[in-house]
Amino acid sequence: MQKKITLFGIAVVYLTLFAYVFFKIDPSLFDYYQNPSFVLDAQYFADVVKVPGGMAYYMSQFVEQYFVYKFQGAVLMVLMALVVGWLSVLSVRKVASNRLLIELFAFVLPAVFSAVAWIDLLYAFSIHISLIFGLLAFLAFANAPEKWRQLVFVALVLLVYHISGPLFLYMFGLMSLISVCKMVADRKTIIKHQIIILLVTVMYPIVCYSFLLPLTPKQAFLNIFPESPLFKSCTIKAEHVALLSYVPVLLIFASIGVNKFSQRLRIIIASLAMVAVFGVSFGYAAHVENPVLRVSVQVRKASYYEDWNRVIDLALNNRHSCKVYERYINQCYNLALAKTGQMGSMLFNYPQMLGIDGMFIESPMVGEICMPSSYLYKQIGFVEPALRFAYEAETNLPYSKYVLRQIVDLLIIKGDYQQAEMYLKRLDKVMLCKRFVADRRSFISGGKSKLNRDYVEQMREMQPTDVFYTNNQLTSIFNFVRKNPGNKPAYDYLLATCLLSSSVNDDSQLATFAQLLAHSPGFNASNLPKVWQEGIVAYFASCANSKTEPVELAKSIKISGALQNEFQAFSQLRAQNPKYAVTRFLHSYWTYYAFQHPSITKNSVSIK
Amino acid sequence: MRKIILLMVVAALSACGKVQMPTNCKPIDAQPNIFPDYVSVTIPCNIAPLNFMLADTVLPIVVEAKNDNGFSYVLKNCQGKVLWPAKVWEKLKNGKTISITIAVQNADGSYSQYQPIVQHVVPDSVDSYLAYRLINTGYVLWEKMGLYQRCLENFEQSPIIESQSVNRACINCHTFCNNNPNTMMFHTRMHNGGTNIIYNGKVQRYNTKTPISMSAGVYSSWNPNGYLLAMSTNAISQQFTSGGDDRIFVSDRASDIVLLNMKTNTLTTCPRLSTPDLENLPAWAPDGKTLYYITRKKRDTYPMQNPQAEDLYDLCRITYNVDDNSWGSVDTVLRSSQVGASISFPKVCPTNGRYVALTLANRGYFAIQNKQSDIALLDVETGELTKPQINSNFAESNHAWSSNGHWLVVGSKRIDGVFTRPFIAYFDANGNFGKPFVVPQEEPDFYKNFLLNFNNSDFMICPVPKTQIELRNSVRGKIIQVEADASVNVDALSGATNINK
Repeated sequence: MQKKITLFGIAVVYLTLFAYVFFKIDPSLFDYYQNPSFVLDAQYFADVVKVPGGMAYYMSQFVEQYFVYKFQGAVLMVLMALVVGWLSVLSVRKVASNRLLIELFAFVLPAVFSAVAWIDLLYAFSIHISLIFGLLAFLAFANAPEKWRQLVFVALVLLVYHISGPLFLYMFGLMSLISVCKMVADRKTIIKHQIIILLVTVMYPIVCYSFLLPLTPKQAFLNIFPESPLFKSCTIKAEHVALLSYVPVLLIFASIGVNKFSQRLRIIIASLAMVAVFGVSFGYAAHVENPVLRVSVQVRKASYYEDWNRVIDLALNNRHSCKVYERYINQCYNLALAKTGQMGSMLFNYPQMLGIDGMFIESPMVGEICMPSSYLYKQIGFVEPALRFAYEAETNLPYSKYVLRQIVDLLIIKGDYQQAEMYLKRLDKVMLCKRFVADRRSFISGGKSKLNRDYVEQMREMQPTDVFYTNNQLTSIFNFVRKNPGNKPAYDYLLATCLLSSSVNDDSQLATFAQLLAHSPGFNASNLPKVWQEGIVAYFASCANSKTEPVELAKSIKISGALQNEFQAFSQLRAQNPKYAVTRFLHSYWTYYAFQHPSITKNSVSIK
Repeated sequence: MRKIILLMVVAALSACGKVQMPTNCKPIDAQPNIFPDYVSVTIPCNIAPLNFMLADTVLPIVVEAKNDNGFSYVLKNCQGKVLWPAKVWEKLKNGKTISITIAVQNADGSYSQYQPIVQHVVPDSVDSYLAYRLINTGYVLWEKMGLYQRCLENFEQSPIIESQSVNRACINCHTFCNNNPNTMMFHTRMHNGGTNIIYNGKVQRYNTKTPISMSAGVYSSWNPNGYLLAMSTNAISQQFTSGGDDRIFVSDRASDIVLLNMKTNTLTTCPRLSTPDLENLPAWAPDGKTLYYITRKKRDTYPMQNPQAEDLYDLCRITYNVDDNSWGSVDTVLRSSQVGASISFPKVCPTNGRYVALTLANRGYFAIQNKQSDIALLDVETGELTKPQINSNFAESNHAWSSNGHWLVVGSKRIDGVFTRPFIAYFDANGNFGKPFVVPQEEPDFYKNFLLNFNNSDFMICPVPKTQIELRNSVRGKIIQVEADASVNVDALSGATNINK
């Protein structure tokens, strides 16, 4: 009966975990953010596994590649936690049998700690794989015949170190150290075994570092997962420590005698401990959760799939509900407006806190900005900078399916089929990418393809024939639009960039804005969107202040009476009650121009 | 059943028999289109097998190779590849010419035979090792990179040092003294930054930034005496383009040349090498008394549409007296206006100092990213400048001489226009080049799949004497500050070269 209740409890815990992963965590976000790629290539494999823990990382990529599918991803994640739980129970049983409560903990804790760990979109799933290997190694050690045990231990140290990494080796060593007391009866033999365990566990990483492998000290002694560009800023976190240490802790509890307590007292203590674990874990999870990153990844993913309305909804809803601001969201939002023709009416519904740096996120140059920048340029039709950023992304993530697909498509658009084929060959080594590869090869050979030929032709026609520098985004996009005056998304992007470069301190780009606006595609002088009108009003006011004549073409623009009255009200409030002016005209260009331009707020991009 | 087994055995035995060229082949009046292009190339007697494949087809082929010593060998391949067994290749190389005849199997089982291709073998050996950096196509970021050494006599490549072992530092600009890695240097940037030098059997990291230099050392050249290292100091910037032939223009806002003395651990320069103009890319002549370099006038701005006219380098040289550390006067060897191009990467032939191989480009000095760049040869005795037939329609640059002066390795993008590959060209006693060949790889289609650039290829007479672990320990270890020569009256930050920090 007790066993049935326990099983039922475990089932409830893991089903809850599944629901939590499926609805709250969303494995597909890991896929989009972490770019897992399972690569079938001998050289790649050799490169990955030469770092301790590399094998676990390689295997985790196999599992993680299925996270692109939300349901399969959730099943796999829960399965990993379940396997860890099951192996934990088996490990505990090696030290003490019939300890139902401890076994219950061994089954439940992995679920709890996994749930906490997965709140972090930068969680490295190799940790779970490493843990599984560590536990399997311990079971192999515990099951080894007495006379072979030391030799088996040495062999397992090598395996665990190279497959799982140094921290899991320490975990394995500690578990072996604890368990040997229960496995061996003779005190002298116990001490002898423990000395060997300790020595081998400590010495092997030192030997590897000093003589065998050109590793960094971190790789040799402290890595919980192999370094990669994505995890560059990641350090060992509390949830990692929890996952590493709960089995050794349970082994300690299992090995010390607690039979002096009554059954009832034990249940009470265990219940309290379980409540404490749940409370602390979920309190901690709520504390460390990064909702900004989550929304940002959701927005980026929606942008990748060109679901522009979802991008706008996500950006605005999260802005209102939890005051989320992030420049990746900002950029995707701006792009979504440009693609849906809403730039002139909704630009300031999301705060443009970084000005141009929210339009183009390419500075400062770091790995994470590359793909969003590449997507941006591709979406507005400018291939060369899109390709440049894709190449930079490839430097960081050479086998990322998202990066390689982008490069291939851009090269196809450029007509450089020879190079496209080179990248297709690499992509062909990435599991789950075969269909894409076949499709693009079919395009190249003139067959059927999902890549629309009209779109490719259209893109080709858009490319500038004259050469200009692209380091300065404003002049770059200006030159691009000059060649493509009918490209409305690019044109709107340019108009918004002109507006965002202007402030009360320097409004030299407003004249450019006014001139460009008059030539914009679908220009209707008497029916301009609100933001464009606000820009023109600011321009006229600036001309009046500096006693300069507005550009001729702008004079034809009709500003509604209501808007003119609003501007007067804003100007008065700006002088009398600036705070109220900001609140009342929060979503207007004037507020940005007078109060929120980065040159005024001193907002800048910070890099961790 | 027995019959089947017997048939299988017979079939297996006949397959093991000697392969022969098919008879009654239909002749094709052309040479085969092979990849890599090893047709009519001149190769050293110690090069690894030149494996290749038919460029346009994967049909079965039978290949007969003969040399002029009477050795011949026939091989068969089902995928149109020619993979020489090492022992066979050794014998083939014993002659002066290798003649290769290829017969390709048609769909009906018959064979068509191409005109034979010829490769010329010369007794001048090439240095046994080639060192290069493998880098991505991106221009700003790096992640995994490293210096590698490739034995040219076989296909073995091993890392000299990889960035993963040194906190992903950027590793660059390796230079060897007289092609001998027992005295060599390479830089590390960002993490564990410094100049790592193997000298007198020890490896040590140095900080070469001093009050008289605007930056740490960048492009360098060892004096043949083995203890003087000429380096440029540069303030480099990158400009990306909207398309066209070149994706990027690299230029300097300022640059000077300094000299590091390994015996005294001091950095010196002379006012003529640290002027407001941009002195760059030093290269010692084999006598150790002449330093070649390039220079151009400093500009504050570059015109947007025609920057080429403002970014042209001249070739200069200056004499140096090792004994008293004194410098002579500057001699302008070749002006950009004379050749209508920017001159860069002077590399003096190590055997006589008569020939200087250099790069000509339509602007700047960072020629490998410039599609127009070509290798040129300057005869300093006659002043004659020639463009040898080792160039292509794509960029050629980053060249280096072998220790015997008979081989020039050139970084070329000719295969696909994007990736830099190392091509080796023979240079004979009369000052003529042979047709260059790309460094052979075990798999003939290697260069069709490999998505990294071979950057800054340079010959070495032997492998680097330090292990990766030793180099890692040095890079991660203590850094020695180089002392500025107190007698030099140049302030790079505010004096000769005025840089806006």
